[in-house]
Amino acid sequence: MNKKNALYLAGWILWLVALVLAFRTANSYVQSVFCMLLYNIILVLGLNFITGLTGQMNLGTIGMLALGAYTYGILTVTAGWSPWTALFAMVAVGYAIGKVLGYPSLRLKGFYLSLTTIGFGEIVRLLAMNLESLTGGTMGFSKIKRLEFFAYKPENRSDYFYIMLIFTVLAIIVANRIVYSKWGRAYKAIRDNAEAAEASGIDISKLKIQAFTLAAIYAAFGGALYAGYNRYLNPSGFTLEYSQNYIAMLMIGGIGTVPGCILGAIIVTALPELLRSFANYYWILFCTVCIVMAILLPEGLWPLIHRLFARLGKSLRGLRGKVS
Amino acid sequence: MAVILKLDRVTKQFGGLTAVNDLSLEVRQGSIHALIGPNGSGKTTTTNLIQGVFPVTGGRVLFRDQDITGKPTFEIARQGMARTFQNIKLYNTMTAIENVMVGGHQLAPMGLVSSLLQIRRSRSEERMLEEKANRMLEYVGLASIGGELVKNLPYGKKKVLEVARALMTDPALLLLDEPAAGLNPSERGFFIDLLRRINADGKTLFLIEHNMDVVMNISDMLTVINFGRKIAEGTATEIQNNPDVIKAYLGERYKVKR
Amino acid sequence: MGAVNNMNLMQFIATGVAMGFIYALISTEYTLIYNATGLVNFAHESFIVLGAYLFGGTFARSLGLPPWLAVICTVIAMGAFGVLVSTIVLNPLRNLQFITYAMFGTMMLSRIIIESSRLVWGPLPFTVQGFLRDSIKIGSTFLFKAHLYIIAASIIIVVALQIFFRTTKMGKAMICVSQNKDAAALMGINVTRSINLTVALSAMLCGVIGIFCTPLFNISTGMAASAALKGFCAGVVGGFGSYPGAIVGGILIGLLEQFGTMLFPTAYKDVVAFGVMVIFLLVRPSGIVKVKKA
Repeated sequence: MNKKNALYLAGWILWLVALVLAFRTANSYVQSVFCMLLYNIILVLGLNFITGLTGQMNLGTIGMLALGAYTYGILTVTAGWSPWTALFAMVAVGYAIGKVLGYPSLRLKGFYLSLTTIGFGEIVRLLAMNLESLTGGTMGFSKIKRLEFFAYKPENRSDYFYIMLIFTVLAIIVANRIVYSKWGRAYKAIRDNAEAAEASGIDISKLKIQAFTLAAIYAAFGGALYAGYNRYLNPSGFTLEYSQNYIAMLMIGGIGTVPGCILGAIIVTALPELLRSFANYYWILFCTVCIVMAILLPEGLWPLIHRLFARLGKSLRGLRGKVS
Repeated sequence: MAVILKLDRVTKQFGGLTAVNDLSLEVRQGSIHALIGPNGSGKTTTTNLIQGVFPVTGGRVLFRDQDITGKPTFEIARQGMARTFQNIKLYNTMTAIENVMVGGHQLAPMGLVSSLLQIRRSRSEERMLEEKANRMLEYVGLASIGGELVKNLPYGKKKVLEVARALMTDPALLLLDEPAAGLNPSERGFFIDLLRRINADGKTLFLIEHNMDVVMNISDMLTVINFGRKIAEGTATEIQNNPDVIKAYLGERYKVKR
Repeated sequence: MGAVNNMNLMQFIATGVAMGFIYALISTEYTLIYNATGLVNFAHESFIVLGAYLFGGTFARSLGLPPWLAVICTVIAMGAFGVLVSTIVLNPLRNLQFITYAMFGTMMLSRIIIESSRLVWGPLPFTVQGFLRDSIKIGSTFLFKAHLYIIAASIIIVVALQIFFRTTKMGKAMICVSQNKDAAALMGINVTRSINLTVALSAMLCGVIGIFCTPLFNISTGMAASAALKGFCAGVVGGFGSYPGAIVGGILIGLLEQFGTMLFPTAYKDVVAFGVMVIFLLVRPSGIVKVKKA
């Protein structure tokens, strides 16, 4: 490991320690916001593959999350599986969503994915409401089992934070490795110019379906963690609005980059809590800001911050050069 | 000499309009073959048919003795046919070297799961791609701008970068759609040298071009089409003296004076 | 078969066709904006809701206008609203680098409209008393008056739109812009203005759809959600971008959905449209009426 990597790692550990410390000192309400933030980060990182990098609008994030959450619940409670086995079944859930929904909608050019994913989300919600024997219908599904980590048995919701944190860090590492690899480049190439990508020998439909499958796997994992965290599921919490919120996180933070996704998740998760005083006008305000940003700052906040830091670093180095 | 690309009575109709009509031609391995003709004569359509962007209405396309008619573009590309575009098609949000590296995506064999699990191997694969991309940039004379964002590059450099990206796929045949369009004379001179160099390194070039200085200068063989039909074929001198071509396209100016 | 026993077959078909025409109008309206701007307008559900609220909440209830006047006022108000939205949101969005930003913009627009409606007209659903709520008896069949009006008015609108596009200068200009913006601009057509007009037209259509929905559903912010999605499905089934396709797809989906209730529990009625669309995407992605590309 060279010096630069070591510094990088140290930076990350510092962030994590700060996060854990902040969490420990917060009250239980703020703690619940922290937990929400963790699975939101996982979901938006997944969405980034298909919408951020590949440029295909996915509005079914909440449906994928719901399917993952209910499957996890049914497997652990009704079928009596161990939480860990159920968690790894999420790969299969995500894979199935990716293939079944991705194949018809991504083979074609255009906006079909946004359509079919909206429909998918609605159907998952409908099924959750109407298959009462399986999902508990509108009464909800409760007493879902939590993951246990060797001797660590999370008693309440906030204990579960640490287990979710481990998976979030894992999700960030994997996302980082994909985004900054030949895969990330190929996804971006499809977004920037599909025709040229195809002429370079890239199988566009295959890669689009792959990116979509990754998004589905991430969302299903997020759903399983959400189910374990809440221990209770209700179909009323899985509406299209939430899928749009994940898009908002992606757009505000800066599409395509991992830090941008995290930043976006933080802003969109924390903002409603900070702007409670605006009450009824909060949504209008938030959406207006989003539109203005989409028009004026389509790259999102992260590239802006990144450039700012780069300029700061440059001038600092310049200063040091003058001094010595 | 062996034939690398063969069009066998290729026809393309869009609705009632026949864009390419019963066109047959052979591109010999190692040659520089040019396709010329007036505007709207079906040149770009022909390239798109060769690369499988549109399906042909009739006829066959053979590449390296294999029938590639109706195959998807990406498969044809993997068999060793790369191209550049008339109106530049680069990935604007990426840097120059990343653009070239995308061209090598298919040369790197690791799948998504294995590249996630085998960290060491995937790193070395990434290094391989980066080194190769650097060599390509150097080859086309863009070594100094690898880290620049593509959208900030001047037009002439973008044109050359497209060639580097195409070369990254290790093609046997390179299709160039109006490579010299919009270049100034010094850039054009550089481009001609580059094309000669690529050809000398064993790659066959098939180009569509309007600029007669370029075409007459470097082509071994020319095919002239008008209204989607072949009207002449031959070497530069033969074409310049062909009365049909002069009438349809060149005008008297290019006739070789005796 | 319980549904058919309770309901006469004629009535059954009339309901399907009427819903089908609503989907067809929604799909036509999508097609209008899609052709004009290349954007898929995710805000159009909220346009419909706004139309219904303007009609029911403001013109019919608060101002107490007679229904015909309220309809005219709603259509005019929606037209003005369309120009406004097009100028400040859709026109800037269509020039963005990636289509995803523009889609996102229309989604946020949709929320703003819905939230504003909720703030202005209150969160409780309401109805317009006596507006097309009674039935007519033809022979032994009772037909819901609203359904008949919807069918008749939709046919008039569809024919009027076709005449508008084929014969008037403004309509032809809109078609030109939808086919090739650059060429249209070179021919001296004001592209921005033409898009404004298209959006206004589509907002007016949404207003009409909203009015049609008031006797069928209660007026609420979520009233058009499933209809909007089904209109989308109708467009894909009929062939996206084609006006005749929108109508064929809409009626097909309306009828299939009605007959679907004979086979499946009513709770899954909303799934039919989606299922039909997925089958079409797999088997015939171009839809029933294929769009000719120039």
